[in-house]
Amino acid sequence: MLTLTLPALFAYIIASTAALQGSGGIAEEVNGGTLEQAHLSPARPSLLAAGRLAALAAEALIPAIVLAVAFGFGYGPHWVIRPDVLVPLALIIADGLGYGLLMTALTLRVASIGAVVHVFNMAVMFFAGMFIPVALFPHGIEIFARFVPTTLGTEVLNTTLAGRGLAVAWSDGTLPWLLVHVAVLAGLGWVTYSRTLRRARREGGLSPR
Amino acid sequence: MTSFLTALGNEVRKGLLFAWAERLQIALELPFFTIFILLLGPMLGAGHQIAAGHLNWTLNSGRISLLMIAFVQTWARAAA
Repeated sequence: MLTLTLPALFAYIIASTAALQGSGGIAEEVNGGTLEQAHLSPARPSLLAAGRLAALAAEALIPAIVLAVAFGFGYGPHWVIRPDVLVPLALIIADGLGYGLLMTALTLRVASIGAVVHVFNMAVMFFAGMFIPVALFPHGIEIFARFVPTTLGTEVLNTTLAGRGLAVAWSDGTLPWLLVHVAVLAGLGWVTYSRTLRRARREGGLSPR
Repeated sequence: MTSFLTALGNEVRKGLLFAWAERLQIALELPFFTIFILLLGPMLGAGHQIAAGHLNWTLNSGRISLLMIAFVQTWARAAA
């Protein structure tokens, strides 16, 4: 069972850390006035957003890797580690960062963002396979769970870690849907972040009101 | 008695205003916690079923009652 749920723990840490650090970080920057200062820079806003994403990735990956290595050595799950594992890993990270960027963007628009982030993080924790594998959910819940960030990534990662390869994940439909999910979530996060920041710049929302 | 009712009315009004200010949070949390409790109920104490790869999704009234009390108490404390 741990063989199937530990990859979901890795994915959950990526997604929840990106969301919490992204949301908390930008809120602190607004309150401290440093977000406005950063946007006085001649650097393009897209470059600033890329820098923020890189920082979020570093903050999320450090605890996720430490925990995955510790549990991996501690419990010794039967994983088949091959290069094709890197594909779902990279897609999980992209999915988690897209979700984190979306929560970061919403921080500038939604007053009760703390509760929103916690509810969504709980949804990721519960539905993305960290407690029980997604296949054990009732069919309707299983379909819903696949819309939740990192669920499909965890399923594909479990397929590859079981030694069945990407071809199996492609033929059972999880890999194509994962690619669509990552593209949509990352695109949604990027567009929402860009638009929200543009609006905040226009309306003076980059610093405390 | 009148002052007691006025104070009580004031507190209720303040609570409702506070709830209205947090309507988005409540709209998100209420359905999510309901689903969470309903799904968590069959999972708790069913480790042997989960390990065997099949979970019987039926609700146990005793376990759900305890979960409800725990969640309501936690939520009420968080709101306060």
